[in-house]
Amino acid sequence: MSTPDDRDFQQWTKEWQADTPRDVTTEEQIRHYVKRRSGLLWSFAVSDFVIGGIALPVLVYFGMAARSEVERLTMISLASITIVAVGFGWWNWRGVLKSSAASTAEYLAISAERLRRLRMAWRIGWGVLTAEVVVLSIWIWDHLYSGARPHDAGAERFAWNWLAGFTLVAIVALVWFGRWITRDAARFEALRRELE
Amino acid sequence: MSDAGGAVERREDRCVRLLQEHDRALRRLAASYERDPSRQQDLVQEIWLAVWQALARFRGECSERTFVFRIAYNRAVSHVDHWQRRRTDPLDEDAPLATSQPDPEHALSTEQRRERLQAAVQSLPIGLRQVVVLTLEGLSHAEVAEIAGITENNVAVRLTRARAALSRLMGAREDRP
Repeated sequence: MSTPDDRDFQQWTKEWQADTPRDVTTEEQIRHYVKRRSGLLWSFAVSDFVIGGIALPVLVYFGMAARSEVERLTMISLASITIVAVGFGWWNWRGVLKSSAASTAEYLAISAERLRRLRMAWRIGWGVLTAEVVVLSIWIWDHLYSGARPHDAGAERFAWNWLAGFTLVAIVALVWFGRWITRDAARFEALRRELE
Repeated sequence: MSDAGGAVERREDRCVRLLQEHDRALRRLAASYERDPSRQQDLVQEIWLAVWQALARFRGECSERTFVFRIAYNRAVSHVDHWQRRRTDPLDEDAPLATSQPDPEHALSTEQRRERLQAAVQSLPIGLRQVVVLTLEGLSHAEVAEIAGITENNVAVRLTRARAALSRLMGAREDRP
């Protein structure tokens, strides 16, 4: 014999199975897509400032404490690259961080503009990486081979391996970021086509 | 047509049939793990993609229903884990949670009762939610145990706790004989 508790559960089971979650409209998907991407872009923008805010004082300190002109120039160059990168980030994300819009057309426009800016950030990312690798290579070369200070094989191996590792990680990150943008663009394009 | 082509076609047919049979159930399951409608849809698509991929290796070791729900269960758990690691619990957004002091049940429409049930299930801890969702879909204790990888006794214990929590959330009488 079933208890009232069993009957409750049987009733819930019947109601549960009779339910069909409604389909999500493309407009809703676009709205959610824009909101989710807003959080991601904010995290990019904040990361730019945080990393820049930490890196700049450190680079300035090392620049002031530099033991050679090359080292000082290296730190100034890296600080300049950091300033340019943070400045570009601030300029690049302007106007596209908002997460709401008045119409679906505006949501579409925000999304398209964000994808354009993400691609630009990706291209600038390659430029920043190239500039950093050049500056760091010159610095390491000067540090190891200028004759100012003696060095051993271990230090040489460490320096070049460190640069290679840093470059590799950055390249992997940029390639992944590029693929992610491509996938995101395809996803957005599919949503846009559904609305046409 | 070649054998390989035939095999692909049979897999497609089977996937379409499973889709027709279980799509509503999987959408309900996805809704109990993910509140954001867009991500809910993504989850259902992920589940069907995983079903399609796994069908190539499925040799009838269990019923098709158990096979589909096991994949759905695993994908849903991964989904919740993924979003929790991003510190945006999929069930913490937008929609309200079930209230522990609801209106009298007789005053509610069927639709409202369904919504309340959905919200009550969503607010359960994940261990209880997994068991109760599968049971509400009509799976036996043995099937739930097989899907969740736990013993039948454990299923019964979790289900008792889940039902008590649901009763409380749904406003059912607490004093049961």
